[in-house]
Amino acid sequence: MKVFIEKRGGREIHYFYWKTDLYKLFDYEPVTLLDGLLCTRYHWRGLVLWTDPIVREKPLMTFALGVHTPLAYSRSWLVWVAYRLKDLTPAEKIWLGFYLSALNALLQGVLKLPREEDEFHGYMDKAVEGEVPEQYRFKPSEWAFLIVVGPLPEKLPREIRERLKECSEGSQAKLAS
Amino acid sequence: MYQQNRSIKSEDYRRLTNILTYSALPDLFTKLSDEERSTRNISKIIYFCVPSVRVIIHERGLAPFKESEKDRASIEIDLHELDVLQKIIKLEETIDKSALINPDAFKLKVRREEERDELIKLIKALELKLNSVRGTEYENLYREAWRNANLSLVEYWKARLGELVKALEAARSRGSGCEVNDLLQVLKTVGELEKVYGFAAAGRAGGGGLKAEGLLVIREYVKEAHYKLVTGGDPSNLLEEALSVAKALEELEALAEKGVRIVNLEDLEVVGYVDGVPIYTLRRRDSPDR
Repeated sequence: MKVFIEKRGGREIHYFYWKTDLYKLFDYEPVTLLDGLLCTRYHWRGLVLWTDPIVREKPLMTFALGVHTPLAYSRSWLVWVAYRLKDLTPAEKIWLGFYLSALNALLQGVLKLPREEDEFHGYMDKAVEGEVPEQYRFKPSEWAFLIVVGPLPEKLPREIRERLKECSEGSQAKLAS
Repeated sequence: MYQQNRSIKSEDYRRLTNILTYSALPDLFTKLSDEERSTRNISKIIYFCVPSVRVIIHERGLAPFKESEKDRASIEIDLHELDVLQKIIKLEETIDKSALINPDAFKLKVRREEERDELIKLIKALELKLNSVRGTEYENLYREAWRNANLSLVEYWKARLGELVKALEAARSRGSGCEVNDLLQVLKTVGELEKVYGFAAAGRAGGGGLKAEGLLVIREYVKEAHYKLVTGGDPSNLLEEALSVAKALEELEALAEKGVRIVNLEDLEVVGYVDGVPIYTLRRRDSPDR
């Protein structure tokens, strides 16, 4: 595993990269802050905001074995979701449903994250220089569904608001036509 | 179990295979090895042929045929879905193979428009006949299979899902060396899984939840993988996507066994709107604050 650190437009994004793992050929899992809120990507098409992460210098996170889904240690496990069912592809529906079911398992205490005091360690020793291919870059205004873990913030980050507005306008345009 | 299918005359079936092989894609058909032809494996040949009609439609704008826009649309509808093909393959199992093929039938002939029309007619007729038995004998066959195996519905589902994962892993590991039969095996298993909970019917009605949705997605990826394979591409990435979904279905089953409620998007409740977009939340009883 490597970490590509990209600085662009005043934002720093850490891409956790696996060349190959179990059956997956490669994976880029970006982690960044949007207006101060911890943000990750889920299965390329979902954006996850963690509004109440446990922080020890940095938010504590882990990655699901094999599939690398980023999971933050959170004080609150309330889950909010924004999407338009009609706009989701069948693949997006299955991945969103799967993610919510996994979160539900965490909420119910059936699944547990590794004990933080045992498992947490830094990652800067894995940081390397390198370009992330354009198609795998994190684009906070391009997502099919939004998940917020923790309290819903009074004000969402700018890019997310813009995307929500876009979804809303798209839907109204469809209705009008 | 397939008694009713026997009402389709073997002569019709022979004509169908001839029409498919002659009129649709002589160029691709010639790519079959002599051995493949001599085995007279009809399902393999048809499987190879039908999606290739789609290839022709998409890549050449229907160059092999001269017809109206309306006819073009009907060909896409009839041949695009492998469902029809699956039915034909099932049909094959019901007919005495020795009566079907004349070795001379593999010689290429000149295409005729009437043959194409006849093909459409035949496929529609086959579809109608098979649909009429679908909800009864056809699905009973699967119910009987797991009853005979002394398995519960869940155990049967898990066993078949395990087979699907293995079949996908095998196909993916072969990459561009993967064979049509590998993909056929995957599709067959997907079809069997759909029967377990009656997903085929539920899917048509827009229901069936995550499991049905997952099978649908796997089927689509495998169909695309087939398209790649017959056009000389590497289907690995598509098979990997299909494998990811199959493994996700296994994980969901494991979670459900531990008592986790599987979240179907249709079940979520709107709790408010942000900028006109509905916001959902997991139900409170599933979401204890911790």
